[in-house]
Amino acid sequence: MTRLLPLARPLARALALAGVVALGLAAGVTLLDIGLSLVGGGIAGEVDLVQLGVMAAAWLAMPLAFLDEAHVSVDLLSARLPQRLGLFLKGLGGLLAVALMALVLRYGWDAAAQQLRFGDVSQELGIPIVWYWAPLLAGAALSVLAALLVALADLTAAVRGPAR
Amino acid sequence: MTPPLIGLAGFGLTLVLILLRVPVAVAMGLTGVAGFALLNGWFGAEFILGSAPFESVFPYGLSVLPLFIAMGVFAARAGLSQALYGAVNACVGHWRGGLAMATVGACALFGAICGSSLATAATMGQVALPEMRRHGYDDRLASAAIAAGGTLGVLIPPSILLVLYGLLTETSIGALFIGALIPGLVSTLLYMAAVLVQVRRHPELGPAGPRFTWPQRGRALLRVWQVGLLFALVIGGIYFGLFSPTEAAAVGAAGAFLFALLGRGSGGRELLEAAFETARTTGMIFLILVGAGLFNYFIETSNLPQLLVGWTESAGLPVFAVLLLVLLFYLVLGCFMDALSMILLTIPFVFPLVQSLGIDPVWFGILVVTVAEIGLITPPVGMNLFVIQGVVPGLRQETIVRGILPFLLADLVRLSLLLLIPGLVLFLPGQMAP
Repeated sequence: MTRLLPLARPLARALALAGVVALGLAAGVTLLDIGLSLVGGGIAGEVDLVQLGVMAAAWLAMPLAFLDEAHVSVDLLSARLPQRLGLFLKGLGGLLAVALMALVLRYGWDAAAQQLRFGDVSQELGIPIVWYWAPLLAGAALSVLAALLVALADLTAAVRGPAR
Repeated sequence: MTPPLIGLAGFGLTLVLILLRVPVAVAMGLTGVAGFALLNGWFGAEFILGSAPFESVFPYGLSVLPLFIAMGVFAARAGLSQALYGAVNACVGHWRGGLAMATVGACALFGAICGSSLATAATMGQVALPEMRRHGYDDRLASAAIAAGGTLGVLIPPSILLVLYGLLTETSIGALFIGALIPGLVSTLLYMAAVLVQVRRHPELGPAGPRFTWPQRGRALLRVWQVGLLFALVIGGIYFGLFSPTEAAAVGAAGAFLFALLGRGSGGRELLEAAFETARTTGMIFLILVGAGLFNYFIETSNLPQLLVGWTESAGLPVFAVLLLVLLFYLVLGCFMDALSMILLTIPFVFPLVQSLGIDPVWFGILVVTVAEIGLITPPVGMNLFVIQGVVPGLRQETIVRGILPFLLADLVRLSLLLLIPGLVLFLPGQMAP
């Protein structure tokens, strides 16, 4: 399963890039709104669009952050342990990350489905709220996979010894 | 076990998990869910699992975070750090210890367009350390000047930490940014003084560099116009009420992107890497926010904040003594945790206490960020120490740690000044446009 790591990275990078593009679009909308406000205008629904862009940027970036191990952790203790024990602890931490993201996905799915049933929409433009949930669910699902791959790689290295 | 004790145990469990190398966001999130389930049943935990991950990212105010992250990343890729270093070096590099002072000054100026301490330290480390080594600087002074100077990135606005503090405590981000300007300047001067004192006592630590002519200085200063423009637009825009923080962040991110796009040597690959770096940092910060969101639900229902307020009132301690205790708590915690996680983990129960004592939230915010900054260069988990070590292969951590002590003393002087003279923080916010 650890051989899947190199295959998962391009997917995570593509997703993260889509998130950064969405963030760029949110910045663009804000700049346009500033420009139009100088001549007494503005973009209706600017807040809705920026929120959508930020939801995409934040959640679509998470799988890459897991794969590249960008999430903050403290190795004060594990750095002083034998290498394999340190890797084992890191792997266990990774499995807990899998558990958290799986819970977020499971109950996020329920909440999104409920809002879809109720037909909830954004305040200004009436964008269906489920659009805001889409990057969250996609990001959480791929984060489960990414965190699992990294955790398994660590646990494998802990059992077999790190690759030289 | 009473709910506040469960809250306290949850805080302890989170610290233990963090020490066992569980990612900070995951430790906070899982403890939050488990604690909330213990207090309110699993049905309640299902509710927060369905809402906190959404609500922790959705608010419009949070849009400043990824935009300021993008601004810092693209500014670094635009080569602005080299221009800044060159400009400050042209002015003070010929003094004994001048290159180290130039490093501190360039860090402060880079901090004015980059909200992250780690990014400031990493970027300036690549630029300044080879230059200082070339001029015969001792590694102790050179590496410590970068590590300490890097912390200025987190205080001098725009600051990611201040944004998070502002959002968590509903304190004006604009007032926090403006309030951090004088403390940022004071800390820059104190760090420079720390360099000066060291080279006075041990001249061999930082020999004088070559002297630049006035026309050379003028040209070097002109090269940093982009930094001046970005800072004027972002911070000036907020100060004069022209932009909201989100608008200022969008202007800053777009400007830094343009400078990176048009800058020398920044091709498509560089821009792509900058985009990935933005994504990684954004993903990291927002996952911590999700974890903190879950943890906050738990802490709020545990009534731990109310218990702390009650204890403090019954102890009858003076406000200043409580403030000192809180800052001491942060100083100790900062030795073992990174600044971002420390603030997100503790503010939910510390801030109600601060509010109950009538302490100004802007002043407290700057004090907390100052203490968090100290944590960034305090062993064993001073993140900036690791960053410098990562940037310079072969550099021993003992070397950096030995050099950092004078800068830590400068930090303690600054903290004392900010504690004794709140006006250093509160004067400028009081002059802001409404």
